[in-house]
Amino acid sequence: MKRIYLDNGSTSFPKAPGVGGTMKEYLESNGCNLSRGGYASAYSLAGEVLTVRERLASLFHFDQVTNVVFTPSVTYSLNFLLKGLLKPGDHVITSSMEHNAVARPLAYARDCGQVELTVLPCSGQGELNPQAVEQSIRPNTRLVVMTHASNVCGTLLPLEEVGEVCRRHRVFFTADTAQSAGAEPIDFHRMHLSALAFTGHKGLLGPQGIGGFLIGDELAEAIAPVIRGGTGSISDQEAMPEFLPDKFEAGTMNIPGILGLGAALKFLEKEGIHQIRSHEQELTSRFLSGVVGMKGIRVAGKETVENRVGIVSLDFVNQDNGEIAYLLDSQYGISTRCGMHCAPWAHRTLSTYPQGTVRFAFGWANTKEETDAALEAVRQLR
Amino acid sequence: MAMDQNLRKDFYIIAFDSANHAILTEKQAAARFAVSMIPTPREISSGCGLSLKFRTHEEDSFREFFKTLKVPCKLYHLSEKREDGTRQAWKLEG
Repeated sequence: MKRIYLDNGSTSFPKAPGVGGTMKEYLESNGCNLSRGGYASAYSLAGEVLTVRERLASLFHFDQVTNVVFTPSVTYSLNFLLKGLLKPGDHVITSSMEHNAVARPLAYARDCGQVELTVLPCSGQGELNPQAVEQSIRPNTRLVVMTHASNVCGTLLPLEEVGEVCRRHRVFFTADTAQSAGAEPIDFHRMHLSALAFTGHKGLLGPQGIGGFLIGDELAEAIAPVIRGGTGSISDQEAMPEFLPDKFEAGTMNIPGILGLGAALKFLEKEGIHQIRSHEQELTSRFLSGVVGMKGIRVAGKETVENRVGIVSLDFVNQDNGEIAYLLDSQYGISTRCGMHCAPWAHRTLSTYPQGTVRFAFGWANTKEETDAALEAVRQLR
Repeated sequence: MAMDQNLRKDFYIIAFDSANHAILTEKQAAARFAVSMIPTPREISSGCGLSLKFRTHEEDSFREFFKTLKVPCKLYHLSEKREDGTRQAWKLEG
């Protein structure tokens, strides 16, 4: 049975050509550390890592290469950006479509009485009205943070409009691009972002274990490092460096991950984000046209391809969605993800709580034939 | 990156706290001068920083180049090593 991988929302597969080879080459032929060695190969490696920062800056239309910070994942990035900034009495605005990477740190801070939290309700299609952001801003609003694309139903949130509201009110604005980076064009400045958190292993087609964030100077100054330790710079001083990226990069970096991500970014530059987006939209549209209106199936969120990434969530009415995912795998070789997708707020918004959904997430390597096979499997299992 | 083993005679360096600033500047400097990356000499800092060492003696050009840089750094002239292994560092810019 041929395997059909439709779990690209969890992690992309296959990875971009060259990712594995680049990581293997580093581990077997170089292996030196970053900012820790006084020898030529260490300096050369620092140059290679800087090139990866440059590629990320270019991808997101960002012009400060040293303000590109690496972390182990987008969840770490968001925790750095939230915990490092928020102080008692601050007010934060977010959306009801958030992944737990945003929801849990904020809910914890709220429950500990540290921050006031406004969770803006999105529509049953997962859409946010940017005016609701403006209406919720208070004198103590410190931050607006939200996902760019829902990891449950794929709906894009209007970051440009929300960013404009934040700019006017001088409120920091942070975006979680876990599901959109590599799948949608993203412009840091046009969205008026203060920070952009990304992961390397989904749409950017790199390995797991590498993520990061891009951050503007004003927010970077306002944030205290959550992790402190060795940076390989101003080591004679007890305080962490104030300059970036060292301020937020204590400890040995995931160098194989960074270099693997670099290879993936090179591939994305060659292929073009628009080309990949167009391909994924074609498959999503093909899938949607088959499932919308199908008896026994409810599409969670939008039923059209506009303003979304290549994610479609289905609720098999009166059936156990977990069982459906098992049958898709065992009988059809189709890999999907069922359950809450680490996003219970989003499922409540989409009225798919607590049953969850079966999520089909299309990627750059999927084909029309695979999409049709998934459609046929859905038709038989409903 | 060319090797440069002559650290006994006097030379000029640009010293950085940030390795990324050093690498960024190395790209620009290498287009105009013969340079090597070295650990920042102890006379200047013991903080694990990196320095860009010029392999020529063109002080006026180094000063001019330094003024074009937008990252935090300093330009030094280091003396020939004394018999006890120490040397003097003169800050020229920054």
